[in-house]
Amino acid sequence: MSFIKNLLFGGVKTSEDPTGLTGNGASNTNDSNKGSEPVVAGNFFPRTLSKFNGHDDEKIFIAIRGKVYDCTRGRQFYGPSGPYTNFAGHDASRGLALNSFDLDVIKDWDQPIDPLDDLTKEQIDALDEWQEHFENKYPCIGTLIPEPGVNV
Amino acid sequence: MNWSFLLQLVITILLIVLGANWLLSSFLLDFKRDLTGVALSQQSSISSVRKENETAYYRSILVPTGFPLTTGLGLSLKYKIRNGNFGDVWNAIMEVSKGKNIIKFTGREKSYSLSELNGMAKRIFPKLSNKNFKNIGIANSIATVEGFTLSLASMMTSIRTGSIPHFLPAVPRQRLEDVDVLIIDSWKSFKMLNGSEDWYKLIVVCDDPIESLQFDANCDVITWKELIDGFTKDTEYQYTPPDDNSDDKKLFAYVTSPWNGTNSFNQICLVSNIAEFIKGFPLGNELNSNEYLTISTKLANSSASLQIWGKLFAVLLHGGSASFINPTTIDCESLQETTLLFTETKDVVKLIDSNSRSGLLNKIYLSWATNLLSEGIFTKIARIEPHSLEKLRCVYLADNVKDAEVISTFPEKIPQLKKTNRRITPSTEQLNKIRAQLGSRVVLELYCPYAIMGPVAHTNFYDYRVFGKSVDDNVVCYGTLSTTLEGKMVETETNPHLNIEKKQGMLCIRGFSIGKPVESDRLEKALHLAERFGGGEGWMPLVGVFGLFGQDGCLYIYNQ
Repeated sequence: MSFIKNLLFGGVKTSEDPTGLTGNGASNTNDSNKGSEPVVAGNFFPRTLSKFNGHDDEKIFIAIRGKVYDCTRGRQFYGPSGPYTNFAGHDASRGLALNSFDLDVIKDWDQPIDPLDDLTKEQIDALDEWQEHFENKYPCIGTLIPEPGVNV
Repeated sequence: MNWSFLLQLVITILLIVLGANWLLSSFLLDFKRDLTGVALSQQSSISSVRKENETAYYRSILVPTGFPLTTGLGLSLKYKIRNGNFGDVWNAIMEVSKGKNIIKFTGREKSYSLSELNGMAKRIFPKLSNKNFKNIGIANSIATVEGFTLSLASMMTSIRTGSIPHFLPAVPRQRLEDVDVLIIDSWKSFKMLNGSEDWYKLIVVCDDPIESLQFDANCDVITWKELIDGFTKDTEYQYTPPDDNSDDKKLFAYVTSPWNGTNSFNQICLVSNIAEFIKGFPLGNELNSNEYLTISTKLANSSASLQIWGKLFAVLLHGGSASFINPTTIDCESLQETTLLFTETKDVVKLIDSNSRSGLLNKIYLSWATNLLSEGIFTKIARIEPHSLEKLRCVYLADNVKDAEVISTFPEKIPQLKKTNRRITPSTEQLNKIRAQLGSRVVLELYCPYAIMGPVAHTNFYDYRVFGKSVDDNVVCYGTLSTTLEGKMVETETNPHLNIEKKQGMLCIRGFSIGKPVESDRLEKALHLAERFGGGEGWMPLVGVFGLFGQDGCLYIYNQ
């Protein structure tokens, strides 16, 4: 009855409260919205990083030499059907250095963080180039650190 | 009396009313809405990551995260794109208009064609482009033909010889470094210089020449009439752009605030502002050659005029015309040609109050119109002056941040938010009444005068939502950030009650329309403050501007 009632009695339709200040309407920390809430930048463990793979969570984070980049807008490359989907949610350093996108160059979240100490000069140069590309294209949002008792 | 018949009648009427209501709200209203509820509930693009003591970055949905903010006009430079500068803008304006469209100034019956104004400015240009002049101090209103043509000529020098226009709030009481030319409104102002005329190499008086002028000044004094003497109408402005993107770094203007802080603005501030205004019009309502922009003279007072150039040049670029109007004399009659009105809320409220009609029919019309508007459907049925306001299609209401002085001093200590439910800005319900009674869209804009060129944020052309009293008593909705800017809320020690998890805090912005402090001490303080609240990544904290980002992505500022 709202439209005709408003018309007859001079009211107007009030929109839902988008501010969350009044306790009714769209609360500003809506649980249904939790999935799209921004992630807090900072330290990531390989385990916490692994869920940001474009599949379990729509965001795509990739680590290179201890730095974590938000590659969500490169979804066509790193998303579930992209050519480099294996890198999403992982440390991609070795894969980029070797120019390999196979699963065997990517460590699982419960393994130690790759120290990369066996790379050749050419491979390190290739990795430097990739890292520069990521620095220019994607925001750096945190650091990859080993999880105590897990990545040892 | 047959009771069953009566009962049937009542039930039938009830069913008809319910059916009509259902039909209206489910079908007809949905088809007529200017913007869907979904679009209104997602007006910003939000970054996917935030830092611990701040919100995510917000920007207008027109410039999604990952895409560049509006930086300029996107002109072609061989295979690259350049943003452009005043030269490109004025060149294009003269090309589009062939000098035919007009600008009407205050205190003059006559309207001036762009070819006349261009001719005058080009006549003044050689005198101002003297190599010895650094900056050109303008202490005259832009709403006068004298102030406008002198500003235009100064802008021409800014891209040719590097003499930069310097917009002043009043005639300076202390010497301003590098201001070699001073433009003032009258001989009365000249007499009040009291010896400070020696600070300048040239003084331009926008008054009639007088013969027996007695003064001992080392500077050259000339009147505007003498400067333009012998001008001819000119429909062209030749400008050959550079073959690189060096425009961005060239200065457009200096602006001094009434509290004596000076900021510099690049050419990129101007062109991004023009592009931002053009982008704000939705499909089907774009700027066109029939546009007639009317600007309140209060917004054109020398250093405050920073906010008018974007709108004015955008309209002229589309082949439109413009006029300046004194807010005290604003009436429906004077807005007959106007399609876009740029003024302050109180002027519009006064206009409506002096023209609104009583009577049952008008009340019904108003109720119908405000109702439809709150449902998202635009209607002109309740317009107060159907004939005079026939062409009016959008009103821009300029609203300033609460304390621009605090913002421009970059204080170490952040003030406390003192909430109040007193509003100077109209509530969403009042805004809808204004829409209904003017029969036009209304866009509410938030400005940070002297520090940021153009609006910080503005409501959507199609956003007619009405919020409950509890929302309106707490906050003002300013829509999304300008497409030249992105913003975030940050935590402050003095306001721990503002919860960053709920996207509440102090507003910080960064982008292409922010002025740079000229004085070294202010610049140092600004950089220090930016470091504190934005990690030094170009963020400017708007000190004392507290608010939140809503679920709809809009910026809500607390009433204080």
